[in-house]
Amino acid sequence: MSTAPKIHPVLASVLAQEMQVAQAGGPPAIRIIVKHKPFVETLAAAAAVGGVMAVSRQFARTFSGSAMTATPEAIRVLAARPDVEMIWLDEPVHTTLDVSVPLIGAPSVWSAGFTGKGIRVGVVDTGIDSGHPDLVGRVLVTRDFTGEGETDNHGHGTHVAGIIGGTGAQSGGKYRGVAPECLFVASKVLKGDGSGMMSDVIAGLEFVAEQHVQVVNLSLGGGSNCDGTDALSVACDSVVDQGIVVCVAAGNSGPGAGTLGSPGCAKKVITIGATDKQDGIADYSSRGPSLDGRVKPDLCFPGSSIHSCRAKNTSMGQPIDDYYTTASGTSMATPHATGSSALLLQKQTKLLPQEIKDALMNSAKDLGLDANTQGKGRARVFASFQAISIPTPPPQPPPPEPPPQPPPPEPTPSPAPSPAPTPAPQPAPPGGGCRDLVKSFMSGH
Amino acid sequence: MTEIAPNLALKISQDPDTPQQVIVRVEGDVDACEERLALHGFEIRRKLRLIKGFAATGAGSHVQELANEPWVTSIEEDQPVRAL
Repeated sequence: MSTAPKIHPVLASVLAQEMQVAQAGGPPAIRIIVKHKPFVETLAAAAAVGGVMAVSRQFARTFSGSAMTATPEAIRVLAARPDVEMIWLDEPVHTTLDVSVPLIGAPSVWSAGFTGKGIRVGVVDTGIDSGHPDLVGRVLVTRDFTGEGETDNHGHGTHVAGIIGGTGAQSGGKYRGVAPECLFVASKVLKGDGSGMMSDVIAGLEFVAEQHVQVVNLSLGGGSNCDGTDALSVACDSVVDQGIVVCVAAGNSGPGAGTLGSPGCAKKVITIGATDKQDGIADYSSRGPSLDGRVKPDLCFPGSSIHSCRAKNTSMGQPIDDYYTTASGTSMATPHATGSSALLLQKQTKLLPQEIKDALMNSAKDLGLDANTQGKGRARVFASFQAISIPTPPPQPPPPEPPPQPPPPEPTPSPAPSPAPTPAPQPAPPGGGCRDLVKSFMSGH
Repeated sequence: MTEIAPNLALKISQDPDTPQQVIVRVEGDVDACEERLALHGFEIRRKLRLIKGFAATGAGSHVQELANEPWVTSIEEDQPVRAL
């Protein structure tokens, strides 16, 4: 008999994924809830099934059932029993960082020794609560472009920063971000009501770029569908041209086609859509194509019901306690991409933004949806990590008299901002520019 | 003549006297263009070196005049953005 009707669709999806994993390693253990007929024998029989590893709870008042851990094969055997009525995945109450971060494979990257340590990440948002226990000591500098002061009085930027690289210190490591040893540079461009102007965002982008960040997160957007030629999109592409990875949110205007905003339509950035807790595309996630017909988003990350840092004295999302809150949106998916980029950059610091983009996109899991809904699919950062190789330096003969070398600089958190680089001189455009015109204007010509 | 972004052009046609917040991109030296922009009656709110431009405020009629300048490459509305 078919076991499918007794296996809940969410569990079936997990089983399908786990079969792929099982080819590489041993059979995975899956936590399930089994509803069965009220016979003690049923539970005993279930426990005797090979592959049922532990029965952790029994239920009698709500329904007759059991919570247990079992292999995929054992789940199928259970489903075939006539006394078993339904099997569900024992899901967490929230799809939180402790779920979304493992889903994309970040802990495997940490196990390989890469946590984003020392990678400088720009967060262009509502600011960051630099006193949050999960972020303390790693916010190098904040610059306010709103006139409200540097404090994150909304909470969005702090939530985003926690997803990128919170340590999870306040939760005993449970709510750890993707790159928990990265460093932050913050531009506050959105006010306490979560809004701002494009020109402020451009100024904030300029600031983080001057602070030598390697990745920038933009969980914001505005306007209607665009072709990548608007000022904010051009600014983002200009930052990419400086060798900086820019991750931007696709927008929350889905599920209709062509619902991107700026800078989601920018050409060189990584545009991020959101998946839901069933590992499908969230309805709200904006869809492509861009106004000029390009496929967007580029790929997706988890974005629904994400539990991350709560800024002091704010109530953004659904607060869990004083230190954590839950929120959904492509804003929450994007920092998963930013943190993933930081992990890849720690492995290979010289990777170009397009190479990071390719590594993430080419390793994504195809969710079977059209490209303007899912991009390349849902990201798998460990697969991306494996796909990029550390270049082996060519063998060189040792120099006869090696000069004494100073120790390499350690990136250490410091409240002092880095000095801004001197802007490179701009070549004069063909045909002259404003200076010549001003001169002629002033001289009456 | 520089094309004014369609949504901005519509606003200006409806009310040419209302001050508009715009982003102006220019060709050539940004500092020098700052003077020229002020001469056209614009209040400059930010200099945006990243895109060789400015965030400025000026009347709709001034925006139309500015569009005729050869050193101006684009004029668009400085739009609101939101946390997503």
